[in-house]
Amino acid sequence: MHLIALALYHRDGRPDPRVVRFRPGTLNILTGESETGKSAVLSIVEYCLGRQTFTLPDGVITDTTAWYALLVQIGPTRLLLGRPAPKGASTNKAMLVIGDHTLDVPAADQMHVNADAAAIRTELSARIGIEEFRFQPPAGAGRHAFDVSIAQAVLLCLQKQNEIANQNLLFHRQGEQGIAQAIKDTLPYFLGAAGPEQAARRHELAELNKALRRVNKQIEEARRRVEGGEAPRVALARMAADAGLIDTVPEAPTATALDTLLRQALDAVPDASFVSGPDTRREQLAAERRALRSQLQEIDNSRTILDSWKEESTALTGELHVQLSRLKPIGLLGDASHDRDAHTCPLCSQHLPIPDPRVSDLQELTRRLETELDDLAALQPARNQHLEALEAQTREIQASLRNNAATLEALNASDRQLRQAQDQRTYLAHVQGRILQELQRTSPQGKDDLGDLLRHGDRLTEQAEALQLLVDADEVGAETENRLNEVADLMTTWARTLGLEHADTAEEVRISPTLLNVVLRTPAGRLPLTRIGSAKNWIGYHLVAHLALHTYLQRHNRPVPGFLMLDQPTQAFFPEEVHDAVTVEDADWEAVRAYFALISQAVEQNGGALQVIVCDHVNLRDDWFQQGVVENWRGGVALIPTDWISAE
Amino acid sequence: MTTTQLPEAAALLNPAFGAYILSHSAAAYAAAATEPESHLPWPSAFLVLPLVLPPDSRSALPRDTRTQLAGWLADNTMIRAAFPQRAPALHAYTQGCIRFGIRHGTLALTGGGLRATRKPAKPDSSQPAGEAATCVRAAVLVGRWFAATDTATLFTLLGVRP
Repeated sequence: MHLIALALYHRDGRPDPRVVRFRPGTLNILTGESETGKSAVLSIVEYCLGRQTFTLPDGVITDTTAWYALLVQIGPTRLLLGRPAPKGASTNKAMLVIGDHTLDVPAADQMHVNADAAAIRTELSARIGIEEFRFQPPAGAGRHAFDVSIAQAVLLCLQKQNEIANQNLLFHRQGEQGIAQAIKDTLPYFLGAAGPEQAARRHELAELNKALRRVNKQIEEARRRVEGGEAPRVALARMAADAGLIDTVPEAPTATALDTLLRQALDAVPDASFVSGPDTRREQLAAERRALRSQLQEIDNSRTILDSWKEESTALTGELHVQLSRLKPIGLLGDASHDRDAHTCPLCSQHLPIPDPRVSDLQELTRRLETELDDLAALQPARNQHLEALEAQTREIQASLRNNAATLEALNASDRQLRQAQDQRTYLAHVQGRILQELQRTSPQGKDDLGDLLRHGDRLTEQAEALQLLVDADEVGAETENRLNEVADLMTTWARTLGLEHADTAEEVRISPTLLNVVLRTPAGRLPLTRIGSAKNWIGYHLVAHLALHTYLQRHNRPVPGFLMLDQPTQAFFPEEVHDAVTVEDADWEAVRAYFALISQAVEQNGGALQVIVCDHVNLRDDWFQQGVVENWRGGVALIPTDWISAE
Repeated sequence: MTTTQLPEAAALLNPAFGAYILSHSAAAYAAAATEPESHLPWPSAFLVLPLVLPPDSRSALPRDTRTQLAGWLADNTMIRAAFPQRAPALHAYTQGCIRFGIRHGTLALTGGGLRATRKPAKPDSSQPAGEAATCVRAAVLVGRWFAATDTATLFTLLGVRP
């Protein structure tokens, strides 16, 4: 995913937005004086990518802007992500437009809310190829499982002015509540060290444990059944209620309540006004059965849809595991075999003797839409959670069906004998007799059941233990370090290129996934960035870490947006509070040039896969630098044009 | 997902009712559109009934447009998944409904799409919670959603093409 353009829309509704354009796959430089809005660009990008909180300080930008929009490109598809200026500190409102490579920033009157931030995050996550991957925190960590999304991926793509020069933190927002943990949890996945298979294993283990709990419950029930059955007792209680011996029976009575009810039925003096016969009960049961069956059928249909969808989906080349499928035609243009011209009526698909101009208008509209959709892929909504939900529902319905069958069976059994019973008194006595028999029964019925269940439980326990061993052996940590080795090779080379302190004597410069910082392996031991001096080094090490990490991620097609945004990576080479670096004589221009040259070289090395956007004071005269300049905010030019302010 | 698998919907599949639903959507679209004289685009007209008629889809629709289409689809993945099967199944029926509406003067074709010729009648208020009333409410909501979403985006989100 690369950024194509950023657009700001004035509050007065003027049609043309202020647009800053970026070039995908190359180095983009926004150069300018202080206080022209360079740093705001990063916050606006973050907000447009779906962050709830808006972090721009109040000022000229927030005073004049009504809408912020970001145009991004993912493969052949472009997305316009719009966010209205929030009324308070945050908002969930958003706008989403999906189009082909011709999509551009819209005019002001086109901006309206049609999505929310969560929907934007979902859409982006799926399109950049984040698989359905739930992070399972280690047992006992007391954190909830959460879905990996673009929200965590973006943390790897941004460096604010005060972050790039921070010796204690390596990543964006790392110092905020919970963010460091989120990065630690997801970095293995983004590196490819924790694949979906590990997630699947963890998931399967969770499922097994669930099954185990279920079986244990069944064992409990079976034990109770050995002492006296549940289902037949419920059925008897319902019969007694139908016969008017007791009041209604609750849906799921406890064993003790059931016991009490049945004893009440035994003690009841039969009332002569005998109410509803078993026939109504039978009808109810039959109706319930039908309803349950049709529910099962519905679930089956849903499952068929989910499965068909899995078969049709094909991975898109270039993206890792995104399950993208083609858009399904709904047949507005007839079959491809038909000639689609103004002779075919779109209303009845008949051939028209005379072409109708209005018809050709409609056809034209439809064809234009089709051309526009040619490059677009459909996206598959998350499947797994649905399959799980469906399976849980299925089990529930099957249990109800079993209950229903048991009740019906009890009814039938008593009916057969009722034919011999001449009157209602006999019937009541008969019911009471059956209850008595049931209450006295301590027969070993269900013993075999219990044995089966216990054996099943043992099997599940064994499986769960075996899987637990696998999960423990997954070694996500080791695999993460392994992948960071490749990143470290690049970092070490580049740190030496920049001549950073200790880089020449260090055996290796690497990212520590536990400290979330740069660490040097030196003959004298590990040296974290917190023990190295000078802002020049802090920025230099940040630079090589992020460039190397992104080079790795792009090389391995990992689902992280392919852009990196750096705010003022050369701030350390100028005196404090400089208004415009270009006017500074005594800065270390050679170092400045070296830092930019490294960024340029890293972008080059990625061959179009990586887009780096730098906001800085610096404006070097070198050709390669000037080619990267997308905006120059000096002499009155800024993010907010002067006529925006004078119009207030 | 053919119409035969939607028994409740089958009862609603008469062209008069469909035309009535479409006229509500078209009127809501025109009222909500930012540009004057904009009509429910021809291709989008075929997406209304597959959202409104299937009972699961209809009952899952939000009460008002505070919930946005993209967000609703992200939350209701089952309905989103079923849509590409439902839309082609209801294509011929939608055609029939539009024909009926044009014949009876409640719908009109313009160069770009579908227009309600007059303010569509409200559903029978003596049965406030009736099926017709919920269908109309859904139709109005869908019309407003469509007005706020660009056509290509709408088709992409629903996973279909013309």
